[in-house]
Amino acid sequence: MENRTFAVANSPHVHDNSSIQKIMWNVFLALIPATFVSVYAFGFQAARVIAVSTIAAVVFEYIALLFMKRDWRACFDGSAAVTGLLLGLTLPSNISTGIILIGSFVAIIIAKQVFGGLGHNPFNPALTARVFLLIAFPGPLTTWPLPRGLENASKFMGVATTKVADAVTTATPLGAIKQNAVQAMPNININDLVFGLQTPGSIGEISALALLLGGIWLLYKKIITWHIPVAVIASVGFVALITWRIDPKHYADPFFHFFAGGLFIGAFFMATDYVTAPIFSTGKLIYGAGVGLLTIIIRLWGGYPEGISFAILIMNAVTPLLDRWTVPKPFGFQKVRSKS
Amino acid sequence: MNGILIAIVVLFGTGLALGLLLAYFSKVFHVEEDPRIDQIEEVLPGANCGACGMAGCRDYAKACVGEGEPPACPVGGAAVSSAVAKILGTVAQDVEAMVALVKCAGTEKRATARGPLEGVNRCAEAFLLGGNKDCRHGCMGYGDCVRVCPADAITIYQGNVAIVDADKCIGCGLCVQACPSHVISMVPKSRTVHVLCNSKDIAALTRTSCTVGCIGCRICARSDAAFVIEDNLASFTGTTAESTVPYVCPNDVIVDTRAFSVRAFVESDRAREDFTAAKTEFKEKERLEKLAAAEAKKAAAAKAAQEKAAAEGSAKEGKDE
Amino acid sequence: MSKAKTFKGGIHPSYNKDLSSKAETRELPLPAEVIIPLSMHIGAPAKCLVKRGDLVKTGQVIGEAGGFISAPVHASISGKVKAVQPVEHPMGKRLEAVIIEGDGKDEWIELAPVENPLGADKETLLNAIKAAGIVGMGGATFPSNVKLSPPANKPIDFVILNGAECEPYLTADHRIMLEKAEYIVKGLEIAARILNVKKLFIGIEVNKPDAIKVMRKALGKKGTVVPLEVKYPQGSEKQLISAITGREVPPKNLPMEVGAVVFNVGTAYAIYDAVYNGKPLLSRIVTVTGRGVKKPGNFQVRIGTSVAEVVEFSGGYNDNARQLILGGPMMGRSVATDGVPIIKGTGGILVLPEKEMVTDSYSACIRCGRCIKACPNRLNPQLLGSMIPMGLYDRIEELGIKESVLDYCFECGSCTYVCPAGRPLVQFFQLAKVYFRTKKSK
Repeated sequence: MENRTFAVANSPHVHDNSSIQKIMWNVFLALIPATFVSVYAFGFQAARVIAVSTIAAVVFEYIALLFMKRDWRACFDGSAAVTGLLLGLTLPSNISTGIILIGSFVAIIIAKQVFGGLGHNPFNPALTARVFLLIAFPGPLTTWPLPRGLENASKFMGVATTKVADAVTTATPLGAIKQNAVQAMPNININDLVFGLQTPGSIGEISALALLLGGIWLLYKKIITWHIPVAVIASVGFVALITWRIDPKHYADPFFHFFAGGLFIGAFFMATDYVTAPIFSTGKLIYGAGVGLLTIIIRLWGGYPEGISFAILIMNAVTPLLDRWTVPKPFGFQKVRSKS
Repeated sequence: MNGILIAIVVLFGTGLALGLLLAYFSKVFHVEEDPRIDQIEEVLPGANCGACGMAGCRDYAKACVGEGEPPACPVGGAAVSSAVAKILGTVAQDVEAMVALVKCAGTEKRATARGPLEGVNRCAEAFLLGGNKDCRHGCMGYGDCVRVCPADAITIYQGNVAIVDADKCIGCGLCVQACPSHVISMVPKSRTVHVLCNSKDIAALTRTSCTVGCIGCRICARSDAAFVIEDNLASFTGTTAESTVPYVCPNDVIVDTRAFSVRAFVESDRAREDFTAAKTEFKEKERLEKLAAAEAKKAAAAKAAQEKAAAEGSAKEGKDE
Repeated sequence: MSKAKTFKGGIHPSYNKDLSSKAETRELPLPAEVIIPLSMHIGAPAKCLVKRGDLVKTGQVIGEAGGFISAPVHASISGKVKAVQPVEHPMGKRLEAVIIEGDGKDEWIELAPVENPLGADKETLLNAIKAAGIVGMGGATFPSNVKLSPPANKPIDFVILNGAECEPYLTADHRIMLEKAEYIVKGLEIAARILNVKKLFIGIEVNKPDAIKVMRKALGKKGTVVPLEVKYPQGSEKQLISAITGREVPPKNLPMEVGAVVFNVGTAYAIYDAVYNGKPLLSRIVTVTGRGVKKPGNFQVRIGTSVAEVVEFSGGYNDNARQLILGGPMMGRSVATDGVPIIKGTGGILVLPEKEMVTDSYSACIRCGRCIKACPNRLNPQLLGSMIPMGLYDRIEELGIKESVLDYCFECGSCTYVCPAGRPLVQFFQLAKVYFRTKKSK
């Protein structure tokens, strides 16, 4: 009988058909509700910011891959697009295109490709870029235009608005609290924070509900696990609850801290970044708790009104240690008999 | 104005103070190091290839001045060895310069292929799957050796067999370690005759898997005692041999680098043709010589018989007398 | 029914068992020629007892056990020894094998069954099993008599039959449970008698409800049938023990370390056959399946029959057949030609068409942690899989607790199955294992 020859390949010979592309585009999809809300609230300006940052990120990725003689098609794997989109969502709507380009450059080239590209960056690229911009351009990065419908308000949560060039700007809810808690506190409107249509702030962080929808999608798709978001939100809530119970006049209640600022986008989308978060469940819980604690500490007693960017970046630095400390015992592990 | 002055003074003062501190500490915490380490490092090749077993050339230099004698630097050869010995004041170790040799000429045309290996980029991976050729001892051509070579001396030409450029090879031996098939070995640079096969299979198998495989027939060993046959595989242990030695091999496994470079012998069809022509010529000559020798022998025998007969005849005659 | 038991970790591949699970086992006609490798088991290869030209009968010993962990090899057909030479072995190497040209008569040697098996003493039973050359038929091919003779200081509490068959596609164990249930139970009783154990378990994944029913009926009050969660690698010996008894076998140790002995259901049948009928292990059930063959099915095949012959009998290849795998898709071995013989551990012939082959190139790890969730041994394939391609072997040794962490890995392939970057993690571990083996031998 004539023998037939066959192709030879490695076991296992089946695969679950998952891919980096699918994961990344799912994250992208999960950010779509927040994107819609931001475009609705801030109009064309928000669309401009998001489009510029996303496209620039992909283009920078392409350039970097070409430059490093790698497969340039990897720039369409979605990771650069997600980084760009996340960066765009953390910026104010009236920021100039030049600054966005610088941000995309820092995110892709300096925070990601210099370290070896996807999978090798120690710090979350989008957040690195945002913090870089915050320090390099503190003015534009802390000027928050009022969303549609509030254009002519003279005060937001007790803080006077300012007219710059073509927009009316003011402080974010967290900024208002920071400036004068006693004055701002009675003006808190949780509904606004949840839906985000009437709140100044980074374009993507204003609607907690839209972000929560995205987060649930990620959980449903098993792209993230519950550990990090729950740990972050729980630890923020824990500290906020204590301080609020002690001194409700100067400290806002936990719900305000949940829905104000970037807690949800941070907890669901940035802290859960695979590359920079711990890999074991125990590590994820510790990491999440660390992010939450640092966030609320900066919010309550730090120099900045919002601290989640810093908190995540700081905990990114701790990730390798957590990965070392939280290794589970392998199957059938036996205690070492001492050598001596 | 005042502010600027103050700033300048403060910064300058801080800088000065720190500088002084640095200078002070560099003296206090100075690590005494044998000056010979630097000298030895100077004469070493500086490829940091790790072939000596140390992490780099500086480590090797440190080991030299330390206790115990490290093995000679395989890359630098005799020159470096004597230079190091001079610095240390010892006698130079005797080193023969070695180069790597891929003992395989089984290109795609000559070696029988197994099914295509999918998703394999490295020899080590291919080896786990049983290799891409029927012969399990040959070069698989995925270039694990190319990747480790610090001197860029190895190339995979067409035909998927790695070839070492002996002139570029620094003899570090990293490729030997990297090769899962153990098809690369270190040979003295001066050696001119090589057996280009690594097949330890029995003859019947080697014949089915490759047209240029060594079948361990021992013909070469009969013509030159420097050929040693072990595990169905010949290897040459001498330095050089008669230029006609390659012609005796029935499977054209032996190459004489004075006539053909290894590269030409492995991948060039032209070289093969030339070789075959030379071989045929040699065989023909040998046949004629043999024929002549046989005839001469026959003639001699006839002559001897005649003489014998004559002698007997004369003896008879003598008896008769 | 109580909740199905299981272990931690694992994956849920698509099982594709419907292709062949309904097909009754058919006997393959006597092959014209068999290739019987002398090494069909873990341990030392058998020593060849025949030479070219010898006439052999079916069941005759042609290779005797070459050591303590070894097994004899028998002629599976009668005929003439054509050659003794290395051949392409299913494990991807060339190993010594006896090639027998059949005479088509299938003349058997005289069989010597054990009389009154359940009353016979331990030694007689063990010898019968040893002489029959029985090895683990789930794929690991560990000689059964070694499992059945634990040292006196290792008391055995459980005998477990493994009917999990967690590998996708394969249905050989499923069929044997349906068709030979009572004999399997008899084999189990023999094993239990040798080991003097009262606690008998049969573990079966709940996706084979008919097999659970049949085995429950056959086993009666003699033991327990344990329904197991459908999850890969549930049929791995150590994972099975953990699911049923809660005990974890340390790496590099045999299950007897924790007082358990596990047999595949096929092995139990072979034990029955050896003891009650005196028959050596000459044939086994092989599943021919996959979308690369025309008619998937299950076949009773003589050891040494070439794969080509089995596929031919089943109905032949589809035109798109591209990859031939011996065993299941997770741990089976891809072979280059169908000239290789069926050996004692070959449970399946899986033929995949071109479009089902996994051939994507891999990219960098994104640390998603799916491999960690999938690993049944709670290892960190992510870290190991990043270190090995970089050659950081020394750091792997540092990770080791007592032995190398790689000793925990049995290459089940779960991590590679779930990796979104398509990294060939299993292969990295194989490479590292080869590295450490050669390092140790140096």
